[in-house]
Amino acid sequence: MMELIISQVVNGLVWGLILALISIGLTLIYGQLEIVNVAHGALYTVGAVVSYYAFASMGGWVFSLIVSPVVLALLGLIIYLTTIRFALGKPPIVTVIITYGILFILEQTVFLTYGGVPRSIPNPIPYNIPFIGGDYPLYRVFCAVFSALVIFCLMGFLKWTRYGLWTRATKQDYETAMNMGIPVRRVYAFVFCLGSALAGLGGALAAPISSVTFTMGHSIIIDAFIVVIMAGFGSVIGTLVASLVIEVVIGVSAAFVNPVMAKVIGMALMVVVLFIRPEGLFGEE
Amino acid sequence: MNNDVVLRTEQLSITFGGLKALNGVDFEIRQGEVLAIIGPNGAGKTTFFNVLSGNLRPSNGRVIFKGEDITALAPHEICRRGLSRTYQKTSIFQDLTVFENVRLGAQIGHGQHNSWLRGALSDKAVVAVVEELLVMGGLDHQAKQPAGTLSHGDQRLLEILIGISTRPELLLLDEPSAGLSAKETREITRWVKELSQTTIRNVIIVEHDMDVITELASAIYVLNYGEVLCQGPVGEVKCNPQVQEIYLGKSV
Amino acid sequence: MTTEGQTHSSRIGWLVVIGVAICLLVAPHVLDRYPRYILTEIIIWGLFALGFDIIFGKTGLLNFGMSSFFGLGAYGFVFAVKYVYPSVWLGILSGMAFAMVFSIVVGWIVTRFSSHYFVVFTIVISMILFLLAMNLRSITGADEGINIRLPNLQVIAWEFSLRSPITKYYLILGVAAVAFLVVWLFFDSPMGRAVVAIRENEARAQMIGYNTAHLKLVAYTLSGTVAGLAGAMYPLLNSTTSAELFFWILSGKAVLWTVVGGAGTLWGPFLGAAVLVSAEDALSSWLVDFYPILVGVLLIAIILLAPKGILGTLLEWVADRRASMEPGGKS
Repeated sequence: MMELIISQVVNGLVWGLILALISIGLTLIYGQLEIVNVAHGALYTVGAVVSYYAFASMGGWVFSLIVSPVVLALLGLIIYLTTIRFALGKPPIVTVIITYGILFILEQTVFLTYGGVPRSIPNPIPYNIPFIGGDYPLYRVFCAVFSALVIFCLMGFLKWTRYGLWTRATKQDYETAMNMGIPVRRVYAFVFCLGSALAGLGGALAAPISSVTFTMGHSIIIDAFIVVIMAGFGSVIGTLVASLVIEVVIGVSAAFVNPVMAKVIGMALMVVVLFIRPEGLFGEE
Repeated sequence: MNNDVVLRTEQLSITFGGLKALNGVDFEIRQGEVLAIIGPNGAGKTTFFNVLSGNLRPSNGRVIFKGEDITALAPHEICRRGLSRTYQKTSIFQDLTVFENVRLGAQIGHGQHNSWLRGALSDKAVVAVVEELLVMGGLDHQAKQPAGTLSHGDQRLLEILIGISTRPELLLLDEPSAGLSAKETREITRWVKELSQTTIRNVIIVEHDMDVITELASAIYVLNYGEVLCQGPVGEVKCNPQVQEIYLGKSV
Repeated sequence: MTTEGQTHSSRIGWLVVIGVAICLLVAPHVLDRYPRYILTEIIIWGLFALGFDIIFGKTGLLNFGMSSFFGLGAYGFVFAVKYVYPSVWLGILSGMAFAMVFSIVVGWIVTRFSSHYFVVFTIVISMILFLLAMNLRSITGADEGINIRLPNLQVIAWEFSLRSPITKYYLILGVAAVAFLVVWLFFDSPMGRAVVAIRENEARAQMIGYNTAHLKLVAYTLSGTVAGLAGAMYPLLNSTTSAELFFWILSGKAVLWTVVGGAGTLWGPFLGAAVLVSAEDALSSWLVDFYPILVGVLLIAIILLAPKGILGTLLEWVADRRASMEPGGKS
């Protein structure tokens, strides 16, 4: 029993880190553009599908880790230029509906091209490391480490680079940023692309672990939303923490109850947190 | 004239992350008085109103309205007890017609707001009240226009009409002349004066324009850095050297 | 605003209403079996979308989880008819009750939150409910669902067999008409106007003395109950229900129909449902694969180009024409 719990905790941490990539993307997009990106799960799915094709055609999975975020960043740019930028400044319904429409389009496109049959990518690092009473897939350890690294770099980027500074400045005070000559529009586009790329990277990492299918985004988006609400929209570190907490809670619960109930428990935790602190654990609003 | 105290505050304080926006404010308004609150920007005038109307919770002190401690009440509960306020930045219902704007308050005044189905008789009474208010404010010709299409001056007027549509006992006016031309300011001042002498007898006004204050108020409270600097009849306060210094260059 | 112009427009409005009513009453005798079925479905979906219009078009809260109410309404009907007592009215009441209780509980939690949290919350809840419904196979039958045999309809002394689609049509039409009337009257009442005030300017509504939290809960519950009522109509029409009714895509359709038809007009949802359901049905089989993509594109196009929807834009055009006909007119 103890072993089961520990392994669930570890799995929770691994998923938590992968989820953190996706959730951070979601919260960055919201924090910057005030957009609830309902299509975020679909971006994750596209990331996984792209990595599947990259792997199938090139055979090199490392290659797919690079291709996915790049393709998603491009996709994000297209989405931004064709729809999102016309919605800035309009009431929330507009962007929610737009991203909802994008969700439909993306998922159906995946369905029509990739098909409805779930497929998987073989484990790219088929080794195990000895762990309490058994073996633990090295690939998962890699995912966790890699995600943590990306997040670390991201935080560094936001803190020290020019674009990072611009991102934070625009978020703080749009008007002042504009008056200071910061290319606000470009920052918006950049953040949207970044968020999309993160979602795509999450999908690429997850592809060997879960099976790749056009509905794979549904489950993860619930978790992502729960995390982002619980952490409070806009906080990167908070999202990371909340991500780990939620996935561990859900993972451990899943050892005792069925997986759906485990998600309900996760949601219940979110509600409790919100009652105590309505702006989220680390929320700034 | 009844000298009952309508509203008073005791040592009202509120802190925003280290900044003391209000510090130990003692304030009192009696029946039939029109009081003004002045002070430089950031002195805490609007914050004071926000505490009175229930939008902010003070960190210290109490607000007593008609003998009841209303400090912890929600805005709608305070309003139901007879305290109404207007906003410096016009806050009306843009897409509703002028008539519908005023009706929202009037139907509360008739205790009707909780009814699901329209009672034909009571609706007539409400309509009559609304029309009366619109005529009083001179907006009856624009009754069917969306409020957002009115001129700024008319919107400020509507702002006040909404405030009095619930028949409050105490009205808080937050810079009624904000954004108005000199002529519009004179008109609205005249109108508020008439209002204060007939229907709404207790008014607290936050204002920058000294002419408006001189016309309307009997006494002034001066706020500076969240504290009451001085208070008293208008003439007296105007001559106070400290006040003059703060308003250096302003027409005192 | 000339009173003549006004009476003219409202006269046209009344003519349209009466015309539509006559068409609806006559339709089942004129239409073939399949178009009649589609029309019945349109009425149900229109009622469902009306539920969304209440909470979004009138109250200003974006509830993206309407499918929960619909599914609960459907299952409420089925459970009552199958396990309690075979009565149509009991089924309808039961469906409404399921949805209403859910609305009150969830609404109490959810209306406390500001707009963005609210949207996400409703999405999360509806997705979880879908997962639950699919998972609890023994209770809900998951995607296979539960089939029932429809009991006869008892109206005072008369008994009608519900085998005839025409009878079903009139029953569903009647229910929808009554529900619509209740909703219409609600928004013409002081409480209804207060709800609309929340949409316009919640802070000010509070400062006039409205308990907006309470009002939002009322609107949310009304919205959920109407959607639940529509849900109860579904097994009434199809003698079956399934967990797929909880699917989040259905929530999106409610949004789509309402926005296309014209949010806030109460008629709009029905119009939008009529247009889009007919269109979906008319699409040839190969296009069906593309339908979700078309829906997505349409959603984006409408919200950016004609956000008020068909009816909304039409009403606006009428109002503009009226205003410009005013002497010394302002537009």
